[in-house]
Amino acid sequence: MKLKFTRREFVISAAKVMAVGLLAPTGALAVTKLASAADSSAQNSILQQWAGKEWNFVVDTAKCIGCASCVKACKKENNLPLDQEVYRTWVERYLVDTNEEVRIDSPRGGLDFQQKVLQVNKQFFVPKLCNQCKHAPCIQVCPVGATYRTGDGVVLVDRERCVGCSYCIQACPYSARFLHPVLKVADKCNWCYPRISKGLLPACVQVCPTGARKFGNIKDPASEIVALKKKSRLRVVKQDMGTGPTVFYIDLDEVVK
Amino acid sequence: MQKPRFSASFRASVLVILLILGFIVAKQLAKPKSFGEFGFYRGDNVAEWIALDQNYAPPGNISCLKCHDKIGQLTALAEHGQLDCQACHGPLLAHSLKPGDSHPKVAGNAELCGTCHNQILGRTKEQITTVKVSEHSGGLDCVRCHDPHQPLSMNGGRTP
Repeated sequence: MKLKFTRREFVISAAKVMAVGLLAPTGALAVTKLASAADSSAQNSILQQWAGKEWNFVVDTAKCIGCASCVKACKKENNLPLDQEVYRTWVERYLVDTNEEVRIDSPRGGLDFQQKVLQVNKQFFVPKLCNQCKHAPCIQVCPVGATYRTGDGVVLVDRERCVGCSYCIQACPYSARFLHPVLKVADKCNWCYPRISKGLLPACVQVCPTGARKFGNIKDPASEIVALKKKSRLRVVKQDMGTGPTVFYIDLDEVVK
Repeated sequence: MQKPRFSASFRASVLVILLILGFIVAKQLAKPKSFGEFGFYRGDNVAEWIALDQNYAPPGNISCLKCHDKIGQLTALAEHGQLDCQACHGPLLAHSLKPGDSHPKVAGNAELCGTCHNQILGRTKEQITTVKVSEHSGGLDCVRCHDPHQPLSMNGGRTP
């Protein structure tokens, strides 16, 4: 049988096909790069916004009186229905009774704490919120790239992009995420990103009557949070998960896992 | 058999190019604008979040004291001086921007004051003055005896 191609011809034509296959996408990529460079002014303003900023949150559990002003303010600031069981921040009550048994409750996110008849050795409140992890599991599992960590250290959810699959809600070891009851997308605390980007404090920090919640930029040496982090003994929740939380607790008791 | 007009390698190349172009077009259509600007996400979303509306005004000494300076100064000197106005009065950004449009009222009842001052397990006397609100007030509003802006100055009196 006579071959239609010699080996030489076959190799040459195969090389041609491969060259075209490699060059075409490279060219197309270069074109899209050029196109995206045109609208870089919006990009620059965001980069400027992030420059020299790294937000951190510190909670002084000893000061918390469990009034849940933060919970209420958070819901009102972020337009979450007050009567539904979804919380961007919530307050947990820890009661260690005389048998060293730990009882934890958080009725309606802390809005509804009741008096209890119980002999306690230890009693305190722990406010909880999204830890804006440096290695956030929720970002890793998102199949559509709808959640991400900004340059100034806040994990945001893209409400337009989110498909509401809830993988991130299961991935979060702190149960900080939930499905927004109205918008049906993943939602969680973002340290009031619209506020902090305009130089204000998160709503919960602003209304906290005892100053148990502190917030600030750790790259600003004059910030209160830098001094606080220096002098206090801090702990994060679930350090062994390796998530790198950026909410730090002062004098957090060992019973808080 | 008729000889094809184009060589086999040319036809294969055209097919490859069409496939690649099709893929690029499909990807550009499916990928949102600004995706990948800063990372594996839609870059525009950051600006969208920053532009989102708020409900709480800047702290009281900036927003509220512009008009309510007298009550603000009195409060600042008294026991509730460290509180932000909106801790009790609720979100007031709308009111601070257009004071005529809305007049927020706050109920000075035992429920509001009790959120901090009610005696419950977990809240200790070292942290804050607590009472059994229902017994202490007997169903009356706290503001009948205590002025929330100067809590110990009215009929409630300074406790020894």
